[in-house]
Amino acid sequence: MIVDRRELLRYLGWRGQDIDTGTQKAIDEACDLCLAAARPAHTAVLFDYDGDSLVGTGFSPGGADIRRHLSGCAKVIVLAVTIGADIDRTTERLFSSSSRKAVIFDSAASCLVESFADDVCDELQRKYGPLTSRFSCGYGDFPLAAQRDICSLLRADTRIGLCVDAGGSLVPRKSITALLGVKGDGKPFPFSQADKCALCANANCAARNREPR
Amino acid sequence: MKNFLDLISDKIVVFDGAMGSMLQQMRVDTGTLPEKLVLTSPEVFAGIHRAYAAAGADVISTATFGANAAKAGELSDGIISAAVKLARDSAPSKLIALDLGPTGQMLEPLGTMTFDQAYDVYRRAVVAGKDSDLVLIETMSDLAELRAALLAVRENSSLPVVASMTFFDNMRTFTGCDVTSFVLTAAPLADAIGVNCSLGPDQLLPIVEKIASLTSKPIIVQPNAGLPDEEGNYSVGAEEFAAYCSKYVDLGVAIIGGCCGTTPEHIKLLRKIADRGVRRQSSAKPVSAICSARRAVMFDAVRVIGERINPTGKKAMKEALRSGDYDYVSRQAIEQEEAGADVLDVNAGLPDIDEKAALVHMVTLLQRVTDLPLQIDCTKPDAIEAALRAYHGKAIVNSVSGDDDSLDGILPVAAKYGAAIVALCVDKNGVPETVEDRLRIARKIISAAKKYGIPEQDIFVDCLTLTVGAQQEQAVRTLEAIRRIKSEYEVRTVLGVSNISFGLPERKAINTAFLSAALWAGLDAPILNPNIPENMQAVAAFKALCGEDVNCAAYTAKYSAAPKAEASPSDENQADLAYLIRKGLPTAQAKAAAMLDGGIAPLELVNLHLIPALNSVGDDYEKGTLFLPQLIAAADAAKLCFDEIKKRMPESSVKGDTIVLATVEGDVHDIGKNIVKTVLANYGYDVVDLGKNVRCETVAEEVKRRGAKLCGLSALMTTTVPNMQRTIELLRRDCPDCSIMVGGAVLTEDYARKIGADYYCKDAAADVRIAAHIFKGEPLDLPRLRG
Repeated sequence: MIVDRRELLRYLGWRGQDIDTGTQKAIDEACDLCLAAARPAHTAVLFDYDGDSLVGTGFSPGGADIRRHLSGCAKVIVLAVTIGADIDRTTERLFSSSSRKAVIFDSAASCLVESFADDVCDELQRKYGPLTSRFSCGYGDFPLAAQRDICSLLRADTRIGLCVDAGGSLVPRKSITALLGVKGDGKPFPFSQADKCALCANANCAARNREPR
Repeated sequence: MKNFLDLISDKIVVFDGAMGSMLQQMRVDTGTLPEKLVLTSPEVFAGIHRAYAAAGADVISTATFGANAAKAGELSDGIISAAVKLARDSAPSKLIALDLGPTGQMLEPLGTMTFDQAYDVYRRAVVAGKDSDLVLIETMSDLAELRAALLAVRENSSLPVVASMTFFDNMRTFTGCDVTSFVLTAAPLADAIGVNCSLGPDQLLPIVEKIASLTSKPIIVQPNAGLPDEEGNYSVGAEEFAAYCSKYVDLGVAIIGGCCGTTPEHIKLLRKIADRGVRRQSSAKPVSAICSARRAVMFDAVRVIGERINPTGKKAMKEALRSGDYDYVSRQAIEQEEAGADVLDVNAGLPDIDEKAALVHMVTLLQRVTDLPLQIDCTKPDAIEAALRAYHGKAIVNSVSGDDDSLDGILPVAAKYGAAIVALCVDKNGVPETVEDRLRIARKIISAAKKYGIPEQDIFVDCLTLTVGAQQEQAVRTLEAIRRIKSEYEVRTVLGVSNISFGLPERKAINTAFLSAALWAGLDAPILNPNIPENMQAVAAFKALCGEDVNCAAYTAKYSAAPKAEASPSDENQADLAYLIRKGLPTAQAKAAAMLDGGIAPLELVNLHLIPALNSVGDDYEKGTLFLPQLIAAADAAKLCFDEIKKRMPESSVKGDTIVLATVEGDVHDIGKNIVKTVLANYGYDVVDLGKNVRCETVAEEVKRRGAKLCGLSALMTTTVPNMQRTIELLRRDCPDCSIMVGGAVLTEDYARKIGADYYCKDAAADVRIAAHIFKGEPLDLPRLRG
């Protein structure tokens, strides 16, 4: 689990500008603070999948995109990861003292939770064989409303302290839920190396990685 | 029927085991909410209840863990009442525990659910489950949520209640609640407390030991059978599980049972342990301690109470409370914490503001930014109760006097919430002249407090500091009163010290001398300004001298490297203000102060130096020469300069043009909004930040009330854009003169036009240009989207 500095700079809108020593120091400190405040936790459950719903749960991941993503998979892993509530608390506190550090910290935490999720997925892949990439609520036409069902299935509140608020947002904020298909054969997914932007359909996103790969 | 409270007073009581694992074993299709099966397939749960009853459990938990209204919605009441009846019918000779789990939502300040909403969820559950014999609140992570549940039980039923949280190997819950804070907060509200779920039975041992050392309340332990793998298998078998549980009985635990992964096999063996074992009585000694939800402070040594969050005689704090600038309050809290305060006093007593509302607001806000426990400084029972309700820990109430009105009004409130109190040695006749009269009042308060069940360890006697310049003989009497009260009782003492030097020159010298003397007399908790180094030095020196600071280690660590001020690079000293701001250097503040002291007028500083510096930074950001952290750092530095200006302006003369900002309902992503707020505030606008997840109606009401000409709305998620549109509609209807600018990751100019906004802001610099256009008539190079 790391804060990928390149990814962090991208979140911060860096386009090759000079990074002065003050900013560099603030970045280093925010990254250290972020690693220190993180309390990574995850929970994952393996379900049989019949092409429509997770067998035994009555839960059918809605939308054509998720079905396409999981097509051909007889088993599906439902995953939730979080780096904990201390991250949110630290962000709040930093905003009262240094907005610069708060903004950097917040971006660093986004990098960190992605990196932690990658680590967990790599581990799951070692155990269950090749997996699809993570597919989360809000991707394509997979509705955000499914967040609550996913967290209920996993009992994420009591297992890892992950809640869904009335508006459907995850709390703690730096958390990810996702479905991954167990492919049975084929190539493993390169979780730690993947270009996340290439997987995302939001072509107008301000943070989109525009460098050719 | 047996009475639960009688049962736990001297027996070892066995609760049942897991529900979910049994369902899994039976291969039942549970859906996302297994409790619904109570209505559709009750025989499934009836079978489980009978199995646990047959295994020897004394108490059967209802199938209602996730049946609260936050999870089960409208089905909740029906499931709960049916589940209680089902458990009763299935196990008629057993006690039935109404099982209540978390809501699945996070309470404020981390999440968006309010305390009252959570309370209402549990109130409904308690009413629906009223035919049970006791209530079991379990698997809680958040002390705020646990308190909501406990108060809902206490205020809506007379059933006994058991409170259990789930801890991990760092001895904290997921939300960071530590064991001591849990015990201090929950024990006064519950009949038994303890731990469930969490880890396997072996790892819970240190947690249970800690609980047992802190409370004489009966303790419950219901561990998991280890942790599950992805296929839901648990690793700890019945024999191994039982072996660990017998260790808990040796520690004096009153209630044993099982959580995830346990089965009737496990419970059968627990029955044997209970029948064989002897219930050990608690050997816990009462402690003097208070806590927030995440940090406990034990008064086994001198602890400093920071006095700065109090408007009395503090212009900036008054201004902050009146204008609602709670950022200032947050900064005061953080500053005092960093200066070494252990507890923060919170006072909102201003004649022209609603003290109750302000106190609740501050208590809520301070819990976001600091883990230090709070002292609620107020004498109005209704405001104290509201603040204690909002406080997710054990606070001190400052203060109760010797008057009957005060005793009758405040003591029951403090007792109900388990708060500690400050006993102020004063009554309607004023401050007593003699030591004996001070003691008489203290004794009266202590005895009245005990009648309400408040122990001596929770009473902090304030023997009162009077001004030595006016009543010289009183200084010695205060010290003597401290000495005497400490020798008579197990109470602790507090004292505000700075009053001693009023009217004298070199006040610090008198203050620290008196502080040291008071500490030697037995003062436990001085109330002082920790930002004055001499105060903290006096406390540190005392701790070194009396031996509390072993080997003077803390003193040496703090002061050996201290006073060498960091030399600034020479270019910082020489540089002009614009350079310092551009580089985001905090030394900009000193530079601004020096310029102001040198005679430059505050407005001149703003118009000729700060605004041009910020404009230049903004331009460079636009051009891509600077990136986001550099823009923000410049804004931070400018903010420090504005603080210097504010200090020198008369009260209420710094009001600028008002801009209301909010992250719309349903959206909790407020980073963009916070950036905009910082930047606009630094351009001198009076920014009212309504926060995140703000109801559409609230935005319109606040804009109208303040007559704001500009409102900024932010949304990050596609799902909350409809709320942005709804807010705009309300603003159009109620505040036709207000211009609306919108921004956020998902918005585009087209989208902003579609939902009826006036301006689209692609970044914070755009907001500044729009504000300058609206308030100062400056030309604008951005399109107006409407009309």
